[in-house]
Amino acid sequence: MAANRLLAWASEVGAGSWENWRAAARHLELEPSRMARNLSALGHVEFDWVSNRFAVAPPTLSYLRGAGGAFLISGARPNAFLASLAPHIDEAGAALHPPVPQAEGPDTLLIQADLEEAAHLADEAGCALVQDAAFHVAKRLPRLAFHEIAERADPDERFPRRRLDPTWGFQRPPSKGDRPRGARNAVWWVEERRRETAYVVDAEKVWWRVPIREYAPFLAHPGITSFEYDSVARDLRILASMPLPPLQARAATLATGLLPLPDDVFGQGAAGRRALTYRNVGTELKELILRSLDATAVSFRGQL
Amino acid sequence: MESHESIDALGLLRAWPGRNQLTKSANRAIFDHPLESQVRAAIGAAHHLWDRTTLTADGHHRWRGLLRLRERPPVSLSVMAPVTSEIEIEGRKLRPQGEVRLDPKRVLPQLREGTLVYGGHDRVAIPAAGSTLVFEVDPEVGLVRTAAASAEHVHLLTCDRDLADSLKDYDAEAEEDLPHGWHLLSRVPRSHLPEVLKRPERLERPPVSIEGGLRVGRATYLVDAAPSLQAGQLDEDLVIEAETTCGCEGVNRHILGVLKQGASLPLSGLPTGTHRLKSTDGTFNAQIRLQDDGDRGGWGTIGWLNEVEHRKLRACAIDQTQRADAITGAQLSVPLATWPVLRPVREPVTLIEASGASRKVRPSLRDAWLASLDLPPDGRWDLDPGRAIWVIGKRDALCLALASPKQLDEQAGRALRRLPEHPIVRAPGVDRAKAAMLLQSLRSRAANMALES
Repeated sequence: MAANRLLAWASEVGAGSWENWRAAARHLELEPSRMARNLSALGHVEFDWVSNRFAVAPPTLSYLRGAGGAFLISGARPNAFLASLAPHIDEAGAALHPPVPQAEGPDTLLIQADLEEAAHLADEAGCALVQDAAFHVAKRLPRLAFHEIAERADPDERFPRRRLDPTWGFQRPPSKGDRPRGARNAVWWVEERRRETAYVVDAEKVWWRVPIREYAPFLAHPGITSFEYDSVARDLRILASMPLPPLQARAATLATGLLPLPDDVFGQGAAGRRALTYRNVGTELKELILRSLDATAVSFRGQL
Repeated sequence: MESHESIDALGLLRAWPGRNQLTKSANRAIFDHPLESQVRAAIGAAHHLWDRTTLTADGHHRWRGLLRLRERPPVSLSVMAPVTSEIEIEGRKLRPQGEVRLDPKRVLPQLREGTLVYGGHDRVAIPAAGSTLVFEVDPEVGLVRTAAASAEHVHLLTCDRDLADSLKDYDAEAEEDLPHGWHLLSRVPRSHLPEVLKRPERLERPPVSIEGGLRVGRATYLVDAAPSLQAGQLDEDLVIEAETTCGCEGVNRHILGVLKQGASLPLSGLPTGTHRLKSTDGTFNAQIRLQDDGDRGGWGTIGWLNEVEHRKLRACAIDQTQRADAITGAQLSVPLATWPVLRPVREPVTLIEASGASRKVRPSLRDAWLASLDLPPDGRWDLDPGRAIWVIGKRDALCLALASPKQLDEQAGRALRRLPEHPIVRAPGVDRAKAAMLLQSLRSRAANMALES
């Protein structure tokens, strides 16, 4: 699969420029930005958007909570990685599950092992051993505040911009009544030099540039209910028009090692609003993610 | 505005129908492949130094006017030009570095008819537009008119009804600010445009280039992802041969195929090793290397640091001295704390703390997400032991610390009494024999509690 090859290539080179990444993704007929987002959320690759570089993360064995003793393998996955890991897995007495294919990312690799077996395997294979990476990433999420996440800056009037509706994204809502009541802040995406940059204009008409643009709708609409949570199945469903910022996405994704599932329905009786569902998000993890975004969730009961 | 870097002036010259106006030697030079890089550099340098003027027959300057679009209401157009003297446009002065706003309702119908020329001796000309004007973002200037679309998204001003109908999803509904019949189409993907509005990619390519492939070093690619040779403008088909040097097999020469104009020739069949690629007529010569792996440098050199500025700037390079505070992939510098307890079967357990307090924990429902992955249906379940020192199941007891609670509550007593005569004793990391003795003593205390009550 193309995403597996992209991860293998990135692991072989270790690090490189965004231009290298884009060329490799295009060679494999993958969308470079989406792949960057997904492989970052899965903990495979890190991106530095200031120097426009990427580097593969070291291979890591992470204990998954609520997974019956499964460990997730993330980080670098060079050619012949599995072949080199196999003898260590056997020696440790662990078992590798068949790779789980993903539509828009590399296969998910899970290992079934006792804690002692996992520690032995990590030692032998040269992997780091991490306890519940999802939870620990979530614990380090920054607080949502204009001064923490954004910087005062006016958008350049010469560049085109478009308004992002918190619920409907860039598509027009069916009627203006569907916009959140009392929402005075607005989010704009400005087509700046290299990419679209998010700006929030607040009630006092002060403009804020939001470098991590996924934060913008949450900054503009504090307390917004853009999440649904099924506490039994531990499913966290988000509006596709308000994707999680990178570290929140990583926290939610590392709960399973699986990218969120697309869904066509968000909210009751509001078909057509696209959603994404993260699985195995425990209550504590959900609370940490929501708190970091000053957002709330409503309960829903999914398919169990 | 076209940036110098994005223009292949040599390719454009080769394809220019009016090149018969050039001198014989100029015509020879632009098709002289061995001289190609020098000719390209010379044209590039001349283009870079050009002030964008042409001289009129009477010796005056004529600048090309660049149109800038403001796409938000009220929609407006401005004209800019690198003038060195003031030019009067629509009753206002266009100064050096300046711009003059134009009324779209007046200008667009005029541009449809022909080129607009402003000024007296020195002039600014805005080229005729026909029924559609294409605008795209220039990093330095903003949203400006371009001859044809090369960006991923463009904005259009059009009075072509068929085009407006076919792209109505992008209609910005700005008719109020535009002449009757004109539409503003916002952020139209280049792929949705008719070919006539797109900049032809073919012209931007050199005659032969190496494209694609998974590159792992300078002219070095992964063997299972070799690049292709891509042809641009060619005078005639090229026969490409490879001289392959791999391992102990020495040099092996063979014909790879024929490269036709505009076509590509995949190099996917080549083995690991070094390959010199040549056209038999000698106009193309390059070397690539194919190998199984890369140098794997730079792992974990980028991450998230728990500092405000870095959070604003997204992940950044990690200084080794700061690694302790970083998140790199799933790797964090968190000391390993108490591991969750993995239970082999899904049945309730009783957790006993050192104080003697106990609590009963029921297993979570089978992890629904695991079922979707076809993982074993009777998977184990994990629980957070908190401060517990003993975990008592139906048939087993798990000792987490070699300690005996000072007292037992009723719930703990019941759990201990329910254990079979020979329970399984688990004691990871502690002495199992001592754990078994402690359990025996706990069970005696639990039995005494029952007798006393």
